[in-house]
Amino acid sequence: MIRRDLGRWAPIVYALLVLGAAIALFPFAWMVLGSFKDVRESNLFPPTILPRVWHPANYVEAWTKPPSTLGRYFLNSLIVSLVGTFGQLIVGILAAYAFARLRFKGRDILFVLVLTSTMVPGEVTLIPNFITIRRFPLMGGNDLFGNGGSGLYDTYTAMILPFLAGAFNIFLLRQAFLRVPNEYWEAAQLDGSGGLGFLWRIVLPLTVPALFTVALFGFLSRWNALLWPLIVTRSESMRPVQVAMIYYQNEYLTDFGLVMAASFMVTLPIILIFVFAQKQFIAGISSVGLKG
Amino acid sequence: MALADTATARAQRFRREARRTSGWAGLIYVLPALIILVIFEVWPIAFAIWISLWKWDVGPLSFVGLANYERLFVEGFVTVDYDDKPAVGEVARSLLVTVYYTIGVVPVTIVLAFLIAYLLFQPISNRGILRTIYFLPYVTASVAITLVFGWIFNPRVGVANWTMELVGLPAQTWLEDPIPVAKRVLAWAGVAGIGDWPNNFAGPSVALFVIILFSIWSSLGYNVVIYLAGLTDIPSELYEAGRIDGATGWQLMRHVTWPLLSPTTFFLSIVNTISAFQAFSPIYTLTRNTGMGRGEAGGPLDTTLTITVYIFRNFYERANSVGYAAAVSLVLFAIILALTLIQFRIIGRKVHYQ
Repeated sequence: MIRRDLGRWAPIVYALLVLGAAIALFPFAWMVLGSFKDVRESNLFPPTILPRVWHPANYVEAWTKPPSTLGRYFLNSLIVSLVGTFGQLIVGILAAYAFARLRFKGRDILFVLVLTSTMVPGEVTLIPNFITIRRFPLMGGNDLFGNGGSGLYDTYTAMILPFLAGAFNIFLLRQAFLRVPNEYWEAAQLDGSGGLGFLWRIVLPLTVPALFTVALFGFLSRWNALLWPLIVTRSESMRPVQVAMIYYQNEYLTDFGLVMAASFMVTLPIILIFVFAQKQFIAGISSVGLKG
Repeated sequence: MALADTATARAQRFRREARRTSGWAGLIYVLPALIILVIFEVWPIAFAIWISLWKWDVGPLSFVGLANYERLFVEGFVTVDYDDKPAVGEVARSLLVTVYYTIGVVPVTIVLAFLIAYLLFQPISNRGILRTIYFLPYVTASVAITLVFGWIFNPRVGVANWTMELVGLPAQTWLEDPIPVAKRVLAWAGVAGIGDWPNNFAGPSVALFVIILFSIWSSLGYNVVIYLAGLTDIPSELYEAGRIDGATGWQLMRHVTWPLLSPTTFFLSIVNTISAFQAFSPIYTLTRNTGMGRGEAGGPLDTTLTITVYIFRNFYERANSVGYAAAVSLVLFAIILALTLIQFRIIGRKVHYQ
C-alpha cells in the first residue's frame, strides 16, 4: 500500500483536497442559497452571497407554477424510474441466471450478442427507436403495420420499454451469480430444487449488493435522463422532472431564485438516495468499472 | 463410502437432467431481454442504415440512395461562404468542436482524478466525507444542476464575472461568446498575432470552454472512484520493496503506482472519450438560448455544436432531415468504434497488467 506518513506535506495535501471539495460543492451551495433569493436579489451584481431577505415563497411558486404543478412531473418521474428499475431487475435477473447457470442451445452466441449491444451508442439507436415507438403496431391507434395513430409516443411505456434489458446489468448480475459457490448449486440439484425457487430463495439473497447496484444506477439514469424523454413526450402532463427543468428555463428566464428552488427540489431525491446508499454506489462503480 | 457413491451418482443424474430440461427454461428466461435488445439495440442499426438512404421527415418521402452520404462527405466538409469562397462545412466543423471538447475534458479529468485519488488514498482524516463530496456531482449531473451553471456564468449577474472582477480580470460573456479562448487570453495578455487566425482552427470558444468546465466538474468523481479502486488493488509488497531499495515517494509514484494503474487509465480514457463524443445534455441545456434566436442548441455561432447536437438539430429541432441525421449518426458510430480500436492498439500495448 502507498499509505505512509505524510509528515510536513500533510497540511498542504489536506488544503488541496479541501479546496477541490469546496469547488465540487460550490454549485450545490449556490443553488440552495439562490433558491431563497427573490427575483430582484437574484439579479443583483455583484451578487449577494447569503440572501438579504429570505424568500422561501420560491418553493411554493416553483411547485405550483407549471400547469399541472411540479408534483405531476415528480409523479411521472417516479413512475418511470420505479417501474423502469423494477422491470430492469426482473428482466436482468432472469437473463443473467440463465446465462450463468443454465445450459441451452446458442447460449454463448446469445451472450456475445448481449455484450456487443453495449457497443451501440445511443445516437445511432435514437432515430430508429423514435420511429419504432411512433409506429408501434396496434398501439395508440396504430394498425398492424404501425400506421394511423401515434403508437407509444407520449406514454410512460415509451420511456420505460427500451431500457428494460440493459445489457450491462445482465453482465453485472451474471458475474455476481457466477460467484455464488458451486456447493449451493450442487446441493440444490440434489434436493431437486433447481429453477426459479432456487433463484428466489438462495441466489438473490446472496447477491443483494449486485442487485442493489443495478437498482440504484437504473433509478439514477431514469431520473436524470433528458434526451429520450424529451423526444418521446409531447404533453407536459407526461414529462419527467428533468424535461420540466427545460420548461422552467423557458418560462422563468431571469427569475433565477425560482429556477434554483425547482432545481433543488428535483435534485434532492438523488442527493438523499446517494447520502444513504453511497457505500453501495461507490462499491458498484468500483466493481462495474474494472473488475466486473 | 457407498452413501457417497450414490450421492455422486444422484448428483450426476440431476445434472444430466438439468442439462436436458433447462434447454427450454434457459431460452425462456433470456427471451424478454433478447426481445428488447433486438428491437431497441440490434434492429435499429439496420433500420438506421435503411433510413439513411431516404429523404425522410415525418415519414419516408423518396428513396435517395447515397445522397445523404454525399451531402455529409462533400458539402459537410467543404462548402462556400457568402462570398463564394471555400469554407469549412457543417460536419467538419462539428467534428472539430467535438474534438476540442474531448481534448478539453478527457486528459484534464484523468490527470486531476489521478492526483485527487492519490491524495485521498493517504492516511488523512475525513477521507470518507471528502470522497463523498467529490462523487456527488457525478450522481446529480442533470438539467437541474446544469441550470445552476447557467446562472453562475450569466454574463450580467453571474458569480463567475464577480470572481473575475475580484481577481482583476476582464468580465466575459461566457456562454454567449463564440470567440476562441486562446484569442481572448492572448488579447488580454497583449500578445498580437493570432487575431487573423480563423476561429474554427483556434481551439474551443469561450462558450465551449464553460461546457468543458461543467463536464470536468461532473465526471471527475466517477474517475476518482475508479482510481481509488485501482489503488486499493496494488499489493503493498511492491511499495515495501521499493522503499527498501531507497526509492523516494515521487519515484514510487512514477515507477510503481502510475504504471500499475495503467489498466485503470486505459479503461478511463476509453470510457471518457466515448462519453465525450456522446455528450448532449449539458450542451443542450446551456446553449439553447444562445443560438440565433431560433431556440436551437449549439450556439453561439455553432461553436458548441458537437456532432451529437448536430444530429439532434437535423433530426428533431429542424425535423426535416431525418435521413441525413441517421447518416451522420452512423458515421459517428464508425468514428467511436475506430477510436476505441485505436486506443486499444496504441495504449493497450503500453498497459501493464499485474
